[in-house]
Amino acid sequence: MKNLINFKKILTTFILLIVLLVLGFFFLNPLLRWGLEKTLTRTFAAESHVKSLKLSFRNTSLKINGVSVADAEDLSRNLFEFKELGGAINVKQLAYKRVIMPELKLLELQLLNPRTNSKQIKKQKAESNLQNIVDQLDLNYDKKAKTSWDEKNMLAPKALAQATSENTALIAGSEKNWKDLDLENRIKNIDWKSVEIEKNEKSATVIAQKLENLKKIQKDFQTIQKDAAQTQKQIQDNSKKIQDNIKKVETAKDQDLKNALSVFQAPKINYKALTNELIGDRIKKYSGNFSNFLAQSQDFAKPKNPTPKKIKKPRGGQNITFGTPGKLPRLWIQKTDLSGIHNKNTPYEIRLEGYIQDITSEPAVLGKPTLIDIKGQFAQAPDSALSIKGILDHTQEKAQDQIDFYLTKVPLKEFKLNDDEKFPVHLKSALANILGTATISGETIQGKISLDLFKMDFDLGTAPTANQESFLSFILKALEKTDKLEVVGKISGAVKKPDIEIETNAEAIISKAIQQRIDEEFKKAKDQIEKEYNAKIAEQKKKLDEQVKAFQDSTQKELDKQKKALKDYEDQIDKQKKELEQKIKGEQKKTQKQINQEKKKAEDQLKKQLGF
Amino acid sequence: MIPYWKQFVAAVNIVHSKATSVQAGLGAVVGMFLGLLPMSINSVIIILISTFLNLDAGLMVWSTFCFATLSTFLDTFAHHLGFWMLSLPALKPIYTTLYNLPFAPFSNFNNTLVMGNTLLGIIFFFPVYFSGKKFIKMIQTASFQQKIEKFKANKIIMKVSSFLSLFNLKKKWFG
Repeated sequence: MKNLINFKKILTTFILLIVLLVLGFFFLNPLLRWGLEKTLTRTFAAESHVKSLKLSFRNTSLKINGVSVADAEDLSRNLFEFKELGGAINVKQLAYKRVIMPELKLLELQLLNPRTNSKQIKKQKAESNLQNIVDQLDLNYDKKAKTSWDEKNMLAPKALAQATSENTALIAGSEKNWKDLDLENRIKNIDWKSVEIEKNEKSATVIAQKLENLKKIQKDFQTIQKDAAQTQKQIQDNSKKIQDNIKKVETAKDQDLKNALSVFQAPKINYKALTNELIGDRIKKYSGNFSNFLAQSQDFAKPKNPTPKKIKKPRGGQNITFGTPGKLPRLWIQKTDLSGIHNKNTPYEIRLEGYIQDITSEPAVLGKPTLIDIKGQFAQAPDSALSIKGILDHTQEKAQDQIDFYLTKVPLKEFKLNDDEKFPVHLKSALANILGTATISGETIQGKISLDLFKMDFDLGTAPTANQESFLSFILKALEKTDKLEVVGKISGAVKKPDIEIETNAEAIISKAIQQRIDEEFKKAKDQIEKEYNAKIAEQKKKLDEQVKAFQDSTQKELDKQKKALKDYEDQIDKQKKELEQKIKGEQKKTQKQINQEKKKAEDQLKKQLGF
Repeated sequence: MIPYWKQFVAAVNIVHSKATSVQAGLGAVVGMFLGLLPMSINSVIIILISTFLNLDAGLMVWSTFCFATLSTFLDTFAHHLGFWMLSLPALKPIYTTLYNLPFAPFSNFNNTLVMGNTLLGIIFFFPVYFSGKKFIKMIQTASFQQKIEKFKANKIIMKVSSFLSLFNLKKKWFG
């Protein structure tokens, strides 16, 4: 045994230990700073940085400066950072591996600030299907209208051609009737010489015969008149048919236009997906961060677990806790007074003030929930207000957390609604109300975050294509016109991986704007088609109308001429008839007188012969 | 490194160890615990203890190296074993008392790997102790030494250890 123990080494080791302790006294703070940095990195699974740490044995206090912890979800920003953290530590409890702090002061706490001291900047290139949705909206209806213009399939040109052919046949028929009628020649061919009297014998028999001839001429004349009337009626019928044909052309034209315009159908747009892509991004992130924060609080302060669950293969083993209710937990910060400025020197600079009570790593041992009460105000908006109130109760087997927060009249400036570079939807300025509430029971979360935007002024930024610029512009203009844009993110499901459902009134606004735009495009295209079509039809119809009018005019003219000729001949006949009748009367009188004279002469001769 | 240079040289020159069998056995056991247990305050305490005792430094170093290699394969088993041990309801009051005692929590006894590997160390204590003893007896026999001397490698080891001894600053400075 004597050979086994080396007293010389023990002495050497003690001297070394004393040297180490003395050195440790001088280098304790850097060592603790290093230890804290490593602990934070392990706890939050992300890069952490501690500027300095000062442990004072005189008043058993600890002061830590310049702490920043990266966000494990997004390494380009810090989950939290603060300028100074200070408080007294119960030294006696340190021997029990317990950190008990009656009061802690946290100055200039900043949450989710861009990380400046990290090289690991995670690239976030979310695949957006918004481009596909935009592509679906082919608003180039002019082109569409032109391609749909297929004259071969049009009804009106066919009807027009048929009407032209039929009308030509009808006109030709009418003209043939007139020709066949040959009214003038027929009148001319009437044997007027047969009624000439002066040159004929003055006998009554002859006159009577002549009169008969005249009657015959009159009869012929009546036949000619009747034929002419029939022809006229036929021509009128043909004209009516021509008008009917023109009407058919009009009907066919209307049908053609209807067919041509039927190609315009409103594109099927998933407005929900569209609005989610456009403006749901931000609220999704808020909701995700909110839920993630609550999940982390559960990881940090695990609820009571009577029978520890075995982790499959943990790196560095699994720590089983044997905390006893009534005793003290491993970490307990009785009260943390918070004060600080968040987003310093930005338009969103906010002053925070409040406290968090009973922060502990073993809530079941402590038996008290953690209480949060923080209030704040935006530096550039005196009307604004912020409030966060929460109760994180992990004392029982099932965590029961309740968090409520609101931010009112937040002045937004250069606010990005979407991080996708393809759709740089910026708000130049707006006012926002953000309201959030969440209840966690065990591993499930139920909550919502609502974002109400007022007085919006959008800035589209640099859009990759002209079409897209135009498309986004009119959507954003539509959103600008609205009084209030509401976006609600409903959180449900597992607290570590929640389902976030976005509901917004932007769907209605955007769908209305797009519908209006589509209607305008449709109207433009319809007008264009109608104009072009009408011009083509009108050109052909004009020819037809001219043809019909020329026919009607010529027919009427001929008719009038023939009627006049008829009338003239009729008058002439009447005149001849009267003259002839007078002559006949005169001849009859003369003949009667002659007869009477002959008779008297004969009587006188007879009386003379008889001796009377 | 300076205080442990001798151990390092001894590890290189283990075939010429002059340690007793008990020192060799204990050296192997201490090395085993060092190799099995995860680096923590426990390792520091073990190293300190090893410093106070006249152990076979060479065998301790080799034992540490071997068991550290072995522990990478035994970690899963050690975790299960440690979890089982820590979950025993009968022992819970003891653990709870330990957990609430000053300084005891620093031993990380409530860690499954620490507890599992400690148990494995206890199980392998005697086999490793006796194996160490037997090993040192074997290499210290005249026949083994004669066989060793025949190898060219032995000469190289001797030269290397002599060369390394030149850098034993502690011996130089403190005698």
